Amino acid sequence: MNRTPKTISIIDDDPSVRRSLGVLFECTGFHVVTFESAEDFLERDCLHEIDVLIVDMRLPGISGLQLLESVTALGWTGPSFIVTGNAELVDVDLPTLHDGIHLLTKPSDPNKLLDVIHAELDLRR
Amino acid sequence: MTNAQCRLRPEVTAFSVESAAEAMITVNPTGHILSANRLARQRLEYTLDELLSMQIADINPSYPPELWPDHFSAVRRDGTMTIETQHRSKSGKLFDVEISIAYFKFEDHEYCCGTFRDISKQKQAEKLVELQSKVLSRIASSSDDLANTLTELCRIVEQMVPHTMASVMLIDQPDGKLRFRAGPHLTPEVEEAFGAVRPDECSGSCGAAAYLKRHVIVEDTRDSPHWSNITDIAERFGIRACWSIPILDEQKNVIGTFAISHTKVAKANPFQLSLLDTAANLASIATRRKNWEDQLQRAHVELDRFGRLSTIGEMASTISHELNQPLAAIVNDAFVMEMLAAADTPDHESIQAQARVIREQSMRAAEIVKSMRRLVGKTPPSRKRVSVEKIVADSLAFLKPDLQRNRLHVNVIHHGPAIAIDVDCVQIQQVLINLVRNAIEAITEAEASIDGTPSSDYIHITTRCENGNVTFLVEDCGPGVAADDLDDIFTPFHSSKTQGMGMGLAICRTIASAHGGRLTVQNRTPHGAAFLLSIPCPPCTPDLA
Repeated sequence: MNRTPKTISIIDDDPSVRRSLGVLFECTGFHVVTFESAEDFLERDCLHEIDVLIVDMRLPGISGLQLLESVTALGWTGPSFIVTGNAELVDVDLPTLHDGIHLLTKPSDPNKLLDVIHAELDLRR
Repeated sequence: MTNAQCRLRPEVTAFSVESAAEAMITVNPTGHILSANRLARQRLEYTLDELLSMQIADINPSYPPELWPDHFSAVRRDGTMTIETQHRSKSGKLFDVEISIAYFKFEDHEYCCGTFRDISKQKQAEKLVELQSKVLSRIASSSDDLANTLTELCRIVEQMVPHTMASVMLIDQPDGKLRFRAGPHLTPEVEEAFGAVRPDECSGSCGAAAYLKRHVIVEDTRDSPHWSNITDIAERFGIRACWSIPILDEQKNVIGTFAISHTKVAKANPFQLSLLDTAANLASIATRRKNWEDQLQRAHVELDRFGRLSTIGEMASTISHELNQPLAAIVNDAFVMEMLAAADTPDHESIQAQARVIREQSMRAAEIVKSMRRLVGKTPPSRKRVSVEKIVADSLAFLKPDLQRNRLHVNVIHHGPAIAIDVDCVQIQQVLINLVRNAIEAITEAEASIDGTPSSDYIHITTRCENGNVTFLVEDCGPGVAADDLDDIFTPFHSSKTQGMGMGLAICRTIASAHGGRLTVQNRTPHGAAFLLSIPCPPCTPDLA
């Protein structure tokens, strides 16, 4: 696989989710940066440093979907996961901003998540 | 006029005056009484000789000799007049009179003749009406609290029976004892000395009135058996006479007493007895109104709690979101723990750390579930006897805004005699509200989809008492339940609606089960749904409430 570890950015207002996903990805060979809000993420201006974006749909302030629109406008085309804790939103139409956008329901099987991430990254190698 | 009539006239006239049905007296310009007919003598309790030596001032304190000339001039000027004043009889009793006065001149002498009528009864009735209207208007103004209203009642009664003390005691639950609630002249010492009075025959007039459920007129506390237990209190505070009457609620239960007490031995006259009656009635109205207000307030609080529950869909959505946070963390942490454990040289410390966060997140999830339970309702149901009609009426009152907004009406039919059941009223109402809300949604959604005008929309609620069950049938004319859904419409998180979490009916069925009852659904022909809530009840109890 790749020599340098890929960077995953996690944007979620729930600390337990940030922490557990962070540990999970670090254990599986990724570099992780976490943010509490979309505003924090945009302020850091680190889009060029990251390879995968995982963003909670329900965020205080700028929502997950709004953030995806903004970063797409900035030229972002990397693998993106929009996370929802609400089962009824499974059927929600995802924005067809670009091909790499996935819906991730909370909780989800880490193995499947990792498979999708690796597949997406392989596509872009 | 014939001669005979002319001849007889003076005697006949004198006789007519003497036996007239009105009391008449004649007075000269100096105020001396010149004649008084039989009825006047009776009323004033004087003999004719006595009266003939008296002046008006002797029977009417409002007209002393110095004022009389002015009064006489006024009569002379006007010819006739009618006044309301008071007369005093020989025994000193004052009574209200209405006097019609006529002026006449005979052989150069001036006279005035007064015909007077005893209007004490009328005056007393007016006083009672005045008392009623004053107190009722205070009761009607909801701003006034009960103690103020009762104090005002006492104050007016004290004005009507001078030199007395009026007071109100009410029975407190659960000890069933009487405690002072109002009395303008009550002192803390008196309140303390009486304390809580147990209704019985010998702890004062009030205790006796409450115990015997009738008025207790003690004219002298020193020799009354009703005061035998508390003669010391009577002596200490100089309570010599005490008249008390029970205050009754609409079911004729004693809820308190109204009393008038005196420092001297005192007999109650008929007016004072009716004053007691009126005062007790007013105290009852004031107290009951206050109780209703309290009940309304409580009902409001309950409905409020219930309003939160009725948005159960929103709540479930929030809860599932909340619950998924710790679950997501647990899944991720368990995955990491597996990886750590599978390493060639497992790092026990890291594994322990993972186990700890998993435990913490699991506890968090459990807390969320617990709080959901608390929100959903108290278990087991706290049952109270309530009439079936009231359950339905209160539920519909709660739904009024929804029904009005959708221009829908619910027809209610209660079959058989009125009955009461022992249920958790709020929970059963919650079921009915949920069912009617569903019916409203079914009807309005169907209308929106067929774009039709509301033709013969209906929602029926029918209650019955049969085979040891009370049943509530809620029927609508909506599209009914899809055949596939009939089986699992009561399953949690099953929803056929575009919005909602499918928790409403699940909770409704839980409530039915908690009452030992059932909630079932059937489709109606040609369309519509019929939900049947059935609650077992012991052999139908006629609703006595």
